[in-house]
Amino acid sequence: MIATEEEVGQTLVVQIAGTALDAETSKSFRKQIKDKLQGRKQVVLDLSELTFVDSSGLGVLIACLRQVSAAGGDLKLCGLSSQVRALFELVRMHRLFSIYNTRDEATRAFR
Amino acid sequence: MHKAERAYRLSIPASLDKLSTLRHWLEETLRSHSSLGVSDEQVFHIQLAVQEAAVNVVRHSGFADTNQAIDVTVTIADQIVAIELLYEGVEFGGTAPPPDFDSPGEGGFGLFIISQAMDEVEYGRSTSSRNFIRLKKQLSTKEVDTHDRN
Repeated sequence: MIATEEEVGQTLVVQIAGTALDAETSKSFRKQIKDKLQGRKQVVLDLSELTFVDSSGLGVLIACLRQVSAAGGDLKLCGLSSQVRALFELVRMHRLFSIYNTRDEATRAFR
Repeated sequence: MHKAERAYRLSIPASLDKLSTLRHWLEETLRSHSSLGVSDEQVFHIQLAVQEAAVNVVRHSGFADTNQAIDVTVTIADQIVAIELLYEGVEFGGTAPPPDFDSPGEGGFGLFIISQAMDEVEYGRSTSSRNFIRLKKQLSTKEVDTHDRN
């Protein structure tokens, strides 16, 4: 579920692979990413491959945000498709997460 | 005169890996139904609600195996989309309070999403062994045709 990982300065940028982060795929994604996020304070999750996220996917994104926040850091999202944005707005999660259009914008926001 | 009602049906195995098939079929059905002016956001909302309902059926109905099916019917009449999921096993349903946005949990959004995305939601039991989840969405307010009035 993790397509690519990249270090941009102090920031870990992770691209989520596949088109759906949902009841079917979110558990395995969380398993994979949990260790990678350990102790990280600057994380960007790139959602640009995703065309569908449901409540399970959202739950996992919240868990990732919580993990990084607990370490005193911040997790940002980028590359949300219009469907994913529609979900976030429906449940007002766009108030909880820092959301950017591009990876560049998200990583620059840490500087 | 009311526009004719049209029903579309799909049966999927009650399994999480089959839900993408259901989502794609839903989108195709909504977009290809002529005279239904459905927006992208409305398609997303309907897909989301049906996904959440179907996931709950798969997870909670106590299916011992994936030979169980979920029968989905989409009925479109005028600007109203009505969706029914029929399944056997333990009935799932209920209302959920909105999530606490100050300390959101990592789960429990499903029912809230359904109630936000759709205009009407109904859970029940239709026969001695089949349960239903009915979802309805009004796509646009439509003026009553003058010749509908008696």
